[in-house]
Amino acid sequence: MARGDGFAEFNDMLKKISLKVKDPVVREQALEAMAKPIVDEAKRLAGPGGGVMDRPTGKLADSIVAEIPSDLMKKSQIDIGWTESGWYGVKLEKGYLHYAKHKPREFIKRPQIRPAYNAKRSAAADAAIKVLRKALEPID
Amino acid sequence: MKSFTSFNKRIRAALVPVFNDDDDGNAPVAHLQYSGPANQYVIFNAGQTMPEVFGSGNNRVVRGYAYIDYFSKTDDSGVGSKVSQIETALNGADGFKVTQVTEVGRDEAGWYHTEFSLTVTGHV
Repeated sequence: MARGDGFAEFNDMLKKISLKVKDPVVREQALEAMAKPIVDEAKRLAGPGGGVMDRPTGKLADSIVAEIPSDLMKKSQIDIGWTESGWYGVKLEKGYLHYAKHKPREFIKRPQIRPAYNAKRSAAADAAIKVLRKALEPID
Repeated sequence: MKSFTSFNKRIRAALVPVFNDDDDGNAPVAHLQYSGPANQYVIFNAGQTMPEVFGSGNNRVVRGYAYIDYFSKTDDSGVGSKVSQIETALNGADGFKVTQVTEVGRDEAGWYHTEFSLTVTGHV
């Protein structure tokens, strides 16, 4: 078999795969698919019945979102965090000392996003692979 | 049948040698809350544990994600400081890996706060 047999087709296919993976729309879909299970889990943890908050109202859970940075150079990144209405989420995530009159200082820490990431990172990777596989389907 | 293991004892064992006892005679290493008199103390929280290796119908190895919060009345972030001693002690413990050290800041009462994130693995 000559070296050229099938090699050109194979090379062409690799180029197509590369273009698909670089496609900003596919990349955005993959990032959003990755973020979804983590955001859902963080919302569950922060919401009523999630076990993280002492008196959950759902407001903090509602404020958890995923956002792709507008910076075009960071198209392979998606940020998960809180909107303005959940401004205190970062304080709860990292913890802080609470001072009240006539009471000993109390350490309050209620992480939501990092536990969600730890619990769902495999699901996030699977979701991204599913999107990329679908995008590559016509090439198969 | 036991499926999980508690990491609290191991975290405490790693950290106690780093600290002198407080005025009440206790090591200032506490689970979730510390209310003693020490000017340097740590609070630990190993809240999340997940199966890592599963076999014969049971968890064999579990991984924990833990947070250590160090508070001090002085800035202990330099070379050879308490912060680096804590990091060294944690990384030296079997199955421990510090994944992140964050200077959270200094609050209005003057307490410096540093957070250590770590993973801990253990056999069930």
